[in-house]
Amino acid sequence: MADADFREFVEVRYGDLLRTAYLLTGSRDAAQDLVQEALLKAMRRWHTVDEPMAYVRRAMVNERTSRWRRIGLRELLTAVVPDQAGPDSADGVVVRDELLRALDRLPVRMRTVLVLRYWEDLPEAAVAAAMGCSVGTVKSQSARGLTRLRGVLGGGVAGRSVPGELMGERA
Amino acid sequence: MSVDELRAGLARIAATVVPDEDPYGRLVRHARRRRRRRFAGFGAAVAALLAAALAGPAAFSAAGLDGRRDDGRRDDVGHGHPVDSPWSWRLINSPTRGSLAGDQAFLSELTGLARRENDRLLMGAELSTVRVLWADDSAGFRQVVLAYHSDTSAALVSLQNRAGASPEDMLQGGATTNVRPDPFAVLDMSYGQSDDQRRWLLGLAPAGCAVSHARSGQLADRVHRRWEPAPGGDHLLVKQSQARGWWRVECDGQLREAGPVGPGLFVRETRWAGKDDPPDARPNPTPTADWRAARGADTAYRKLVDGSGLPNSAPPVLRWAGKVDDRDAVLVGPLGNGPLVLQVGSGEVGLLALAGPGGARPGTPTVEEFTPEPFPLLATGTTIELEILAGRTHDLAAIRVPALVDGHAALTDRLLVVPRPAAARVEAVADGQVRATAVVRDGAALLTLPLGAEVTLRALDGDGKVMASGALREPARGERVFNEALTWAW
Repeated sequence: MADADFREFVEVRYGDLLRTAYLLTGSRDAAQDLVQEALLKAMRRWHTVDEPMAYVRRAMVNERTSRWRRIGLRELLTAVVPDQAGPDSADGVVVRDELLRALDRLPVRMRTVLVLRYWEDLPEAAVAAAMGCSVGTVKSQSARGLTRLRGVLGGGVAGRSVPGELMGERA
Repeated sequence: MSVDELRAGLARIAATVVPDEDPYGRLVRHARRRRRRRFAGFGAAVAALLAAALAGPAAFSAAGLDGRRDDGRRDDVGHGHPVDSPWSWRLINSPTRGSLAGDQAFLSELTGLARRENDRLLMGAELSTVRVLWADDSAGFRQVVLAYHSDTSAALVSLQNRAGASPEDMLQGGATTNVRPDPFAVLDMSYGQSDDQRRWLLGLAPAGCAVSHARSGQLADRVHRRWEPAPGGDHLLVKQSQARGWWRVECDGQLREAGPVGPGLFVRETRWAGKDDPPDARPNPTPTADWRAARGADTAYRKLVDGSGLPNSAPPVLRWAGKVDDRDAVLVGPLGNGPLVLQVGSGEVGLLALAGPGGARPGTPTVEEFTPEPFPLLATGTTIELEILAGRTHDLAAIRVPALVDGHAALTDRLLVVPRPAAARVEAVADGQVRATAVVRDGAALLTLPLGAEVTLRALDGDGKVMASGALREPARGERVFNEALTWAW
């Protein structure tokens, strides 16, 4: 079916990709579909893909913002906690669910910028490349996204600090 | 919310995700399911056929698990369709139309982006020239039609997004790619969910042609229509909920195309609607009728009559039920004079026979490669008003029997005639000679008669006495619906 190194790539990176996909979609099922569709695309081009993670990430972003938006937002608005959840504190659960709901209220591309920039920790240029847009767009979407989150959450997450979590603005 | 708060929150959400064991095995299963959905089973065959009707056969050749076809090319990239019609080139080379036709900045940026980012729209790089044929905001959302072409091949791509969307946004929105560039291109312009306000149909003719539209028609000796010019002149943008009746296209003073509004006609729904049946739908009308075929024919009749813009005030009734070619067959129509639909077999989607064998227009897909399961076949016709010798008139149902010929549904030289109950024999007469005759069995007679024969049909009683007679009127050749001739002369 595919080369051994593709299989190794899947086994090593699947968890990371699934986490990003979950942040992009808010739904475990949708996240799995998103990752698997992107991986199938990568598999077809495996011999010509120089940077598999960048390729799969971009495929996920494209898939997320095009096909799934066309068939409706039903998969994207669930904000359901995954069935197989890791350990978390009660306060953490509240924060997590509030943020998930807040992310669900953002436009698709704005949410994508925030996830790639602040979860994947990609430089702005890499986010722009993944999304097929300019760095300026990434900057503006990122700034607006943070503002929107503040507006949606109000005193939510910001006023509900979780013990042990780092607070404060980072440049 | 600060950046670090967001980072911490995202990490907290992500930490809840625990991947399944054996992700590679899961991926393999996903690929197999995906492939089964695409290439196996009746539903997939129907989807493939419908896709063929819109996009051409090249769009769904069977692919291997690695996504490559036998010739080594990727299956998800469109390579266009060979263009051998000067009218298709005239369409492709037409200036941009639509409310944004004068927005040079938008068009220029969109053209450049679409050329550079052809991969995002799944168009092959060899189709290196991009033109914007349509750009419009008038329907409340932004819609674009692009033509990708080389010197020999071309494809259309339709894009939809919100009103005011940038070129970049257009590439991120809804898209239909690798559409065959028929001279009169018919494109589904739907945006978002199934909101009636956002489901439109675009008919785009070469610049300078004249498109006209007749929303309704009256069936007398033939169908009569009153044509009105399309507001756009050489194109028509219409809500799908109002896409009924016929449209026609004239170019250089000649009628080039005429037919029911919408994309390909040869695939029609024959699904029993179940709980969504119309309230006046009839239950199994007779013990001899296959109820699935009867309900399916009822659905097909309503959609064909409504789509043609013919009056549909009277619900159809079962005019005859029996067997044709060992398949259940039903004939439905109004109680009196009017349109008729004959369905042979049952299933979700039927193939409509429009013309005789070999009469399918170029590009009509064949069916054998998609499914081993037989599709139901459909034919349309009209009743014949007979002159009754005793002074009363009575209609007679006469309709061509459809059959699958070379992968296409075709009208055959078999004419199914359903006379009044007392009739024992039916004859076809021309120039005083009996050209065909058949005994009435189980309510119908099957005459062997060439398509387009100019004959008078006579119903005779058991003593050979002529009970009634009337002229058979049908187009001699070419495609037709309810005996109204379609035009395709590009």
